[in-house]
Amino acid sequence: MTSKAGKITLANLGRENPVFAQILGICSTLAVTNVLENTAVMCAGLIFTTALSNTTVSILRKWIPSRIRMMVSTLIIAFYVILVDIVLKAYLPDISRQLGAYIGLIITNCIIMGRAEAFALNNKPGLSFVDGLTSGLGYGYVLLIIAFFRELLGSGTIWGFTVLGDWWVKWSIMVMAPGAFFMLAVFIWIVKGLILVDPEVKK
Amino acid sequence: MTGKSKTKQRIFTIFFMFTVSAFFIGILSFVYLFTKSTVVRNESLFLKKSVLYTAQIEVIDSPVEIERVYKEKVEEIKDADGNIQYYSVVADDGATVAVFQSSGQGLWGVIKGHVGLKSDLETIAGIDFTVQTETPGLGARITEQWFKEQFRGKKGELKRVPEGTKSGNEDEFDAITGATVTSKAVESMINKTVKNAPAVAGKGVEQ
Repeated sequence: MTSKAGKITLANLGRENPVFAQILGICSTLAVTNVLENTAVMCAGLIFTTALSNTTVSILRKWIPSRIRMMVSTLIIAFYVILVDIVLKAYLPDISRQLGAYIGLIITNCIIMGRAEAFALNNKPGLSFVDGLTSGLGYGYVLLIIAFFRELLGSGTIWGFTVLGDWWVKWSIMVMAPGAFFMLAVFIWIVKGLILVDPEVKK
Repeated sequence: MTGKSKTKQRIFTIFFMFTVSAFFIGILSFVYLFTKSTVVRNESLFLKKSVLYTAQIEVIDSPVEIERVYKEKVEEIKDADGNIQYYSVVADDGATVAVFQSSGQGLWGVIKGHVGLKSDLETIAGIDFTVQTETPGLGARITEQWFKEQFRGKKGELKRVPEGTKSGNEDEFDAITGATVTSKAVESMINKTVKNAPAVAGKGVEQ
């Protein structure tokens, strides 16, 4: 059990990473990574939702009729996202205001649906929780790395604090959508070219 | 599989979907009702804080303090239907500041905010944004301090100049590079308010 959980963790963070290996969740990767702070909250929301929706789907997996499994998964995912939204609005109004539409965007994140469909429907709740959690983490660290460079190059700041002085000419394109495409492509290129080299190609 | 068990399966499917939906929606409704009053209070506090900020009144960020200062310094001027026309605020220097609600069309949606004018209805006391869905890192920078603070003491109607000009002219403000639509929206929000202020505030005085 433990070794299985460990294997899942390693896969989700590395070789089967949802973002750079499976190329899932790209919408939000492109949309939220221009400011580090928003990215962090988005990742926290996603980790929470994937972990719990995976667990819930897994608990119900024996009763869910297979032809409506996607409807049920969507319902469960939406449930957790709305829960996050309401709780933020009530207890962390400032963060809720900053994130605005992004919270709703979590529902459409393919990673959550993908994990529910591919993993939670066939595995026990405990393992599904680990899988959801680590998929979220695998998504999160990639986004934070991308956001770090986009905010640094685009605004000259990190987490809102100015690090590059007036001499730095801000790359506005990094803050806009095209910057995300470049940054993500470069990231995938580096990771796949240097770290995750396909053994077949190596030969 | 016989026809009978197929029907049974279908009925179970529908029944299952209904039950699961009812269960999760039930929990959500409960949480929503439970937090509703907190959300409404947060929203009202946020607006009050914004009105005070627009009139350049410093206030400690605590609910009690905001309510107290608001009650003491702000008078809501309403029209016959009870809608707020503008806020009459006694600023820290004793002068009256009229804070108007204003809105403009940004890049992604409507931008709403407050524009405060001094008693000549031309000099800008301050500006603040309450609703905006602009691009984070670009248009959304209108909510940053440097942007909002530059308007204090400027005289409407205003013109945009490129970011970083740090213009001392009292009818110019620094726009945001890469966010022309947003900057234009802010410009129009202010200019609209300055233009309409005599009519709105005049009507308020008559009542």
